[in-house]
Amino acid sequence: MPPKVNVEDRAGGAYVLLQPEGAIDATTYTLLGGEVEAILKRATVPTLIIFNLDRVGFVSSAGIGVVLAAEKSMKAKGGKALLVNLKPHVRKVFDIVQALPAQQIYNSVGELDAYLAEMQRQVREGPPG
Amino acid sequence: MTRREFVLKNQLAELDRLAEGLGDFCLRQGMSEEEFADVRLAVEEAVSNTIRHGYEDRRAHRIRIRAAMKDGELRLEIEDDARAFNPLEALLPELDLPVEQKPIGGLGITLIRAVMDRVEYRRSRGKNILRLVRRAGRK
Repeated sequence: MPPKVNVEDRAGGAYVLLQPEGAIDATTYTLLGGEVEAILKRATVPTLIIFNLDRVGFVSSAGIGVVLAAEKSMKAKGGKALLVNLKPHVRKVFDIVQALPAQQIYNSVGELDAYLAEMQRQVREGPPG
Repeated sequence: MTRREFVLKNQLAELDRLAEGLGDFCLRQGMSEEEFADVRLAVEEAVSNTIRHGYEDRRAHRIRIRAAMKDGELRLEIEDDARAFNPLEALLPELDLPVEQKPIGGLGITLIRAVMDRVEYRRSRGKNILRLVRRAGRK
Protein backbone atom coordinates (compact mmCIF):
# COMPACT_ATOMS: atom_id res chain seq x y z
CA MET A 1 0.00 0.00 0.00
CA PRO A 2 1.51 3.37 -0.97
CA PRO A 3 2.07 5.69 2.01
CA LYS A 4 -0.60 8.30 2.54
CA VAL A 5 -1.49 10.75 5.31
CA ASN A 6 -4.99 12.08 5.99
CA VAL A 7 -5.07 15.45 7.76
CA GLU A 8 -8.20 16.55 9.57
CA ASP A 9 -8.77 19.75 11.54
CA ARG A 10 -11.00 19.38 14.58
CA ALA A 11 -12.64 21.77 17.05
CA GLY A 12 -12.20 24.70 14.67
CA GLY A 13 -8.48 24.00 14.18
CA ALA A 14 -7.73 23.67 17.92
CA TYR A 15 -6.30 20.27 17.17
CA VAL A 16 -5.25 18.36 14.09
CA LEU A 17 -5.63 14.65 13.53
CA LEU A 18 -2.99 13.01 11.33
CA GLN A 19 -3.79 9.52 10.08
CA PRO A 20 -0.92 7.95 8.14
CA GLU A 21 -1.28 4.64 6.32
CA GLY A 22 1.23 1.84 5.76
CA ALA A 23 4.76 1.82 7.17
CA ILE A 24 6.50 4.87 8.63
CA ASP A 25 10.12 4.07 7.92
CA ALA A 26 13.28 5.48 6.36
CA THR A 27 11.63 5.72 2.94
CA THR A 28 8.25 7.21 3.96
CA TYR A 29 8.81 9.34 7.08
CA THR A 30 9.34 12.54 5.08
CA LEU A 31 5.69 12.45 3.98
CA LEU A 32 4.45 12.52 7.58
CA GLY A 33 7.21 14.93 8.60
CA GLY A 34 6.16 17.31 5.80
CA GLU A 35 2.57 17.36 7.07
CA VAL A 36 3.78 18.12 10.60
CA GLU A 37 5.99 20.95 9.31
CA ALA A 38 3.08 22.46 7.37
CA ILE A 39 0.93 22.43 10.53
CA LEU A 40 3.69 24.09 12.56
CA LYS A 41 3.98 26.85 9.94
CA ARG A 42 0.30 27.80 10.18
CA ALA A 43 -0.55 31.31 11.36
CA THR A 44 -2.40 29.72 14.28
CA VAL A 45 -0.71 26.56 15.49
CA PRO A 46 -3.14 24.02 17.01
CA THR A 47 -2.90 23.03 20.67
CA LEU A 48 -2.61 19.36 19.83
CA ILE A 49 -1.25 17.23 17.01
CA ILE A 50 -2.82 13.79 17.26
CA PHE A 51 -1.26 10.87 15.41
CA ASN A 52 -3.91 8.21 14.82
CA LEU A 53 -1.82 5.14 13.94
CA ASP A 54 -4.61 2.61 13.43
CA ARG A 55 -3.56 2.11 9.80
CA VAL A 56 0.18 1.88 10.52
CA GLY A 57 1.60 -1.63 10.65
CA PHE A 58 5.27 -0.80 11.06
CA VAL A 59 7.29 2.05 12.46
CA SER A 60 11.08 2.47 12.61
CA SER A 61 13.26 5.05 14.33
CA ALA A 62 12.65 7.39 11.38
CA GLY A 63 8.93 7.45 12.25
CA ILE A 64 9.68 7.86 15.94
CA GLY A 65 11.82 10.87 14.99
CA VAL A 66 8.85 12.58 13.31
CA VAL A 67 6.69 12.18 16.43
CA LEU A 68 9.50 13.29 18.75
CA ALA A 69 10.24 16.36 16.63
CA ALA A 70 6.52 17.21 16.62
CA GLU A 71 6.36 16.87 20.41
CA LYS A 72 9.43 19.08 20.89
CA SER A 73 8.04 21.81 18.60
CA MET A 74 4.55 21.62 20.07
CA LYS A 75 5.84 21.78 23.63
CA ALA A 76 7.86 24.90 22.77
CA LYS A 77 4.59 26.48 21.59
CA GLY A 78 2.59 25.39 24.64
CA GLY A 79 0.95 22.39 22.97
CA LYS A 80 1.69 18.69 22.69
CA ALA A 81 1.59 15.63 20.47
CA LEU A 82 -0.62 12.64 21.26
CA LEU A 83 -0.69 9.10 19.90
CA VAL A 84 -3.77 6.93 19.55
CA ASN A 85 -4.61 3.44 18.28
CA LEU A 86 -1.14 1.90 18.17
CA LYS A 87 -0.89 -1.70 17.02
CA PRO A 88 1.06 -3.87 19.50
CA HIS A 89 4.39 -3.84 17.62
CA VAL A 90 4.19 -0.11 16.94
CA ARG A 91 3.50 0.46 20.65
CA LYS A 92 6.48 -1.75 21.50
CA VAL A 93 8.82 0.40 19.38
CA PHE A 94 7.59 3.65 20.99
CA ASP A 95 7.93 2.06 24.44
CA ILE A 96 11.51 0.82 23.87
CA VAL A 97 12.77 4.33 23.16
CA GLN A 98 10.39 5.98 25.67
CA ALA A 99 9.33 8.39 22.94
CA LEU A 100 6.33 9.89 24.71
CA PRO A 101 5.03 9.71 28.29
CA ALA A 102 2.31 7.07 28.76
CA GLN A 103 -0.23 9.84 29.46
CA GLN A 104 0.15 10.98 25.85
CA ILE A 105 -0.65 7.56 24.36
CA TYR A 106 -4.30 6.50 24.06
CA ASN A 107 -5.60 3.04 23.30
CA SER A 108 -8.67 4.15 21.40
CA VAL A 109 -10.38 7.15 19.88
CA GLY A 110 -13.05 6.81 22.60
CA GLU A 111 -10.43 7.21 25.33
CA LEU A 112 -8.90 10.15 23.49
CA ASP A 113 -12.31 11.80 22.95
CA ALA A 114 -12.99 11.60 26.71
CA TYR A 115 -9.67 13.39 27.34
CA LEU A 116 -10.45 16.05 24.73
CA ALA A 117 -13.96 16.62 26.12
CA GLU A 118 -12.48 17.12 29.59
CA MET A 119 -9.86 19.50 28.20
CA GLN A 120 -12.54 21.57 26.44
CA ARG A 121 -14.67 21.58 29.61
CA GLN A 122 -11.70 22.92 31.58
CA VAL A 123 -11.17 25.68 29.01
CA ARG A 124 -14.85 26.69 29.39
CA GLU A 125 -15.23 26.30 33.16
CA GLY A 126 -11.69 26.29 34.58
CA PRO A 127 -9.89 23.35 36.23
CA PRO A 128 -11.77 21.12 38.72
CA GLY A 129 -11.70 22.01 42.43
CA MET B 1 19.79 -25.27 7.62
CA THR B 2 17.74 -23.04 5.31
CA ARG B 3 19.43 -19.98 3.85
CA ARG B 4 18.56 -17.01 1.71
CA GLU B 5 20.68 -14.12 0.47
CA PHE B 6 19.51 -10.65 -0.51
CA VAL B 7 21.70 -8.20 -2.41
CA LEU B 8 20.70 -4.56 -2.31
CA LYS B 9 21.96 -1.37 -3.90
CA ASN B 10 22.77 1.40 -1.44
CA GLN B 11 19.39 3.07 -1.99
CA LEU B 12 16.64 3.45 0.59
CA ALA B 13 14.05 2.42 -1.99
CA GLU B 14 15.54 -1.10 -1.78
CA LEU B 15 14.27 -1.51 1.79
CA ASP B 16 10.73 -2.42 0.68
CA ARG B 17 12.03 -5.28 -1.46
CA LEU B 18 14.19 -6.47 1.42
CA ALA B 19 11.26 -6.39 3.87
CA GLU B 20 9.14 -8.40 1.44
CA GLY B 21 11.79 -11.05 0.84
CA LEU B 22 12.84 -11.30 4.46
CA GLY B 23 9.19 -11.54 5.52
CA ASP B 24 8.62 -14.40 3.13
CA PHE B 25 11.71 -16.19 4.49
CA CYS B 26 10.92 -15.65 8.19
CA LEU B 27 7.26 -16.65 7.94
CA ARG B 28 8.12 -19.78 5.92
CA GLN B 29 10.56 -20.69 8.69
CA GLY B 30 7.73 -20.54 11.22
CA MET B 31 8.37 -17.16 12.80
CA SER B 32 5.29 -15.19 13.84
CA GLU B 33 4.31 -11.84 12.31
CA GLU B 34 5.33 -10.22 15.60
CA GLU B 35 8.77 -11.85 15.49
CA PHE B 36 9.21 -10.85 11.86
CA ALA B 37 8.33 -7.25 12.77
CA ASP B 38 11.27 -7.29 15.23
CA VAL B 39 13.58 -8.74 12.56
CA ARG B 40 12.43 -6.21 9.97
CA LEU B 41 12.99 -3.40 12.46
CA ALA B 42 16.55 -4.47 13.29
CA VAL B 43 17.58 -5.07 9.68
CA GLU B 44 15.98 -1.88 8.44
CA GLU B 45 17.67 0.19 11.14
CA ALA B 46 21.07 -1.31 10.34
CA VAL B 47 20.78 -1.10 6.55
CA SER B 48 19.20 2.37 6.42
CA ASN B 49 21.94 3.65 8.75
CA THR B 50 24.59 2.29 6.37
CA ILE B 51 22.89 3.77 3.31
CA ARG B 52 22.37 7.19 4.90
CA HIS B 53 25.64 7.61 6.74
CA GLY B 54 28.12 4.97 5.64
CA TYR B 55 29.36 6.08 2.24
CA GLU B 56 31.69 8.95 1.47
CA ASP B 57 31.26 8.77 -2.30
CA ARG B 58 28.24 8.73 -4.60
CA ARG B 59 29.06 5.46 -6.29
CA ALA B 60 26.78 2.44 -6.33
CA HIS B 61 27.59 -0.10 -3.60
CA ARG B 62 26.15 -3.46 -2.74
CA ILE B 63 24.88 -4.57 0.64
CA ARG B 64 24.51 -8.29 1.23
CA ILE B 65 22.09 -9.71 3.78
CA ARG B 66 22.41 -13.42 4.48
CA ALA B 67 19.61 -15.08 6.45
CA ALA B 68 19.78 -18.59 7.87
CA MET B 69 17.53 -20.52 10.24
CA LYS B 70 19.37 -23.05 12.39
CA ASP B 71 18.57 -24.66 15.73
CA GLY B 72 15.53 -22.43 16.19
CA GLU B 73 17.55 -19.26 15.65
CA LEU B 74 17.36 -16.79 12.84
CA ARG B 75 20.93 -15.74 12.03
CA LEU B 76 21.46 -12.68 9.88
CA GLU B 77 24.67 -11.26 8.47
CA ILE B 78 24.71 -7.80 6.97
CA GLU B 79 27.85 -7.12 4.94
CA ASP B 80 28.73 -3.77 3.42
CA ASP B 81 31.78 -1.89 2.18
CA ALA B 82 30.86 1.36 3.90
CA ARG B 83 33.30 3.09 6.25
CA ALA B 84 34.05 1.13 9.40
CA PHE B 85 31.27 1.44 11.96
CA ASN B 86 30.86 -0.74 15.01
CA PRO B 87 27.36 -0.13 16.39
CA LEU B 88 28.35 -1.89 19.61
CA GLU B 89 30.80 0.92 20.34
CA ALA B 90 28.34 3.71 19.57
CA LEU B 91 27.15 5.75 22.54
CA LEU B 92 23.54 4.87 23.27
CA PRO B 93 21.25 7.86 23.71
CA GLU B 94 19.82 8.58 27.16
CA LEU B 95 16.13 7.82 26.94
CA ASP B 96 14.77 9.05 30.25
CA LEU B 97 15.35 12.73 29.57
CA PRO B 98 12.67 15.45 29.36
CA VAL B 99 11.36 15.78 25.83
CA GLU B 100 13.28 19.03 25.21
CA GLN B 101 16.57 17.15 25.69
CA LYS B 102 15.57 13.85 24.13
CA PRO B 103 17.74 12.83 21.19
CA ILE B 104 16.02 12.25 17.85
CA GLY B 105 18.97 10.45 16.28
CA GLY B 106 20.77 7.34 17.46
CA LEU B 107 17.62 5.44 18.40
CA GLY B 108 18.13 2.78 15.74
CA ILE B 109 20.97 1.08 17.59
CA THR B 110 18.92 1.04 20.81
CA LEU B 111 16.11 -0.65 18.88
CA ILE B 112 18.41 -3.24 17.27
CA ARG B 113 19.83 -4.23 20.64
CA ALA B 114 16.38 -4.40 22.24
CA VAL B 115 14.77 -6.72 19.70
CA MET B 116 17.69 -9.04 18.91
CA ASP B 117 19.10 -11.72 21.21
CA ARG B 118 22.69 -11.23 20.03
CA VAL B 119 24.46 -8.52 18.06
CA GLU B 120 28.05 -9.03 16.95
CA TYR B 121 30.31 -6.94 14.75
CA ARG B 122 33.56 -7.50 12.93
CA ARG B 123 35.54 -5.67 10.28
CA SER B 124 37.04 -7.99 7.71
CA ARG B 125 38.77 -7.24 4.40
CA GLY B 126 37.45 -3.67 4.29
CA LYS B 127 33.91 -4.73 5.07
CA ASN B 128 31.56 -4.27 8.02
CA ILE B 129 29.92 -7.52 9.02
CA LEU B 130 27.07 -7.18 11.46
CA ARG B 131 25.64 -10.41 12.83
CA LEU B 132 22.15 -10.39 14.32
CA VAL B 133 20.64 -13.41 16.03
CA ARG B 134 17.04 -13.80 17.05
CA ARG B 135 15.60 -16.94 18.69
CA ALA B 136 12.30 -18.02 17.16
CA GLY B 137 9.57 -18.32 19.77
CA ARG B 138 11.19 -15.83 22.17
CA LYS B 139 8.67 -14.38 24.61
